[in-house]
Amino acid sequence: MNFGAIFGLIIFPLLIILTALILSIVLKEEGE
Amino acid sequence: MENVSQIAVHANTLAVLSFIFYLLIIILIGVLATKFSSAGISEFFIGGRKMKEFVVALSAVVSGRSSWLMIGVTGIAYIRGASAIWAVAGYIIVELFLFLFLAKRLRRYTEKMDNLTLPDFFESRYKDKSNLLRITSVIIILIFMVAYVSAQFNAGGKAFGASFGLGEFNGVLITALIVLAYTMMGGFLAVSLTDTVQAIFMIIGLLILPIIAIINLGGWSEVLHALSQIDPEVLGSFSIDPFALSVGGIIGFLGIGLGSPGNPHILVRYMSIDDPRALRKSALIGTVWNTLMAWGAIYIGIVGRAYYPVKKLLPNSDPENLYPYLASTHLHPVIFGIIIASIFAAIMSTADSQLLVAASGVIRDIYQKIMVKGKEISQKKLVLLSRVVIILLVIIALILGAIASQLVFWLVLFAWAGLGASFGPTIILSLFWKRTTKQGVMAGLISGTLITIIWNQVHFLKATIYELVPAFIISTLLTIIVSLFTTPPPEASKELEEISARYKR
Repeated sequence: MNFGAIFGLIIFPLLIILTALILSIVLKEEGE
Repeated sequence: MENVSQIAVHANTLAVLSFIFYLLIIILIGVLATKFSSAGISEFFIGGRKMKEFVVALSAVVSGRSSWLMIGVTGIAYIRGASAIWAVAGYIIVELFLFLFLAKRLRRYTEKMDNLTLPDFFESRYKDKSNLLRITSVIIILIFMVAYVSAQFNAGGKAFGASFGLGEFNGVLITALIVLAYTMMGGFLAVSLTDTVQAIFMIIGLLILPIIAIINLGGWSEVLHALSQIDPEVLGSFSIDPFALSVGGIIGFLGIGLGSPGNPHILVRYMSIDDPRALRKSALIGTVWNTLMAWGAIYIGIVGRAYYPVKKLLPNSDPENLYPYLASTHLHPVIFGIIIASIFAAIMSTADSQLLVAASGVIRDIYQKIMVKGKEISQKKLVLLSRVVIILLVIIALILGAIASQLVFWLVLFAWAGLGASFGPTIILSLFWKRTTKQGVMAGLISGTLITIIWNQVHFLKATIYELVPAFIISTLLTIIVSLFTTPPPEASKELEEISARYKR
């Protein structure tokens, strides 16, 4: 597999989930 | 994001039994939710805003995914390989941001103003006493939603008929009756809870199948080896490199995601959560679910190509039959029953949400807010009428599917893009830009719908890019330009300030 395939099939989905994880932690509101 | 292709795979007795077990769970949920949903139309149409983050996350995610995900995306990945990631990446990323930002504002505003529907929201936001915004938006919603429901029944019927040898007509009827039963009885709560169960079936199907298929072939390296042995002439545009697709192709695929903020059956999910602060948890749950399901579908397409290098090896030579066919040849009948159930889960979880949104348009927007405006109508009567309307809408959807299938096909072709381009920009701007005006929203709603249809119908335009992308951009620009030349409603900035979240620093 070349880099494109590794990125598309493995890294990219992990990046999306990681982004969701970070944003869901960081975006806490006042009072939480 | 629709699919009405024929699934030519037959199930045996064990598969049928596991499928029936699944249907019983769905119907039982409908029965159990009946009492809660009978309390009033707020309960019936948005679950009394008492839904928890897990239910909202899964319901919002699977309402937006019809059988297109399991049948369409697997088919795209079979033909084009890893380029299919662009077809799913757009909506996954857009929906992550909807959960995190738009959903909170929409939920807070609609609770403050006691809005149950999107036309309700527009009317409150722009203090529109003329009913113009309500009527325009409800017409667009009703046309597309009823066509959508009709197409879902049709897709379910074809799959049902082919899988269980019941014939297409009976399949359509059974699909419609099941969706009708639990939606009519249990309203939003039943729809949300069944969506949650359906989401579990969908993710099981989309994860188990590629894993087993890859193992059966001897592992991922064997899949790659098998693909490398296929004549490039036979492979055509297939590649495991997603960047093999042209830039225009990538943008077009990513553009599918622009439909999510404008499809009311997705947006209404956000309005139903009990605590808007919990939407950040929904964002994580929904994104994990969306991503795993989508990449599962892509791996199925890729491994499927290794098994069946040429289309002729698939039933009806149709790549869209890959998912059930691969499952029928690799899985135990009970698991295969779950795979078939997962296709119906995708169809029904979309159809039920669309049916409920259409019914809310009739009862809340047309009947309660226009026909009997100012009169006191009991909640019991409104719920009863809502149930009657759901029955009528199912009958209309069935008749439309039977006598005007071409019209349904034509409308559904634009439904995702048309709703996305008309409601998407106008709702985003209404929630985030205080300068937006009623006239601007009207311009956005009409231009988004019309440009989607025109772009799709003009051959040389359609050949350039997916119609949703230009329609979304033009609708956004027109909403902004017209708003700048007209007067915004009073108190807009105060209202938007009140619903904006203040994040910890």
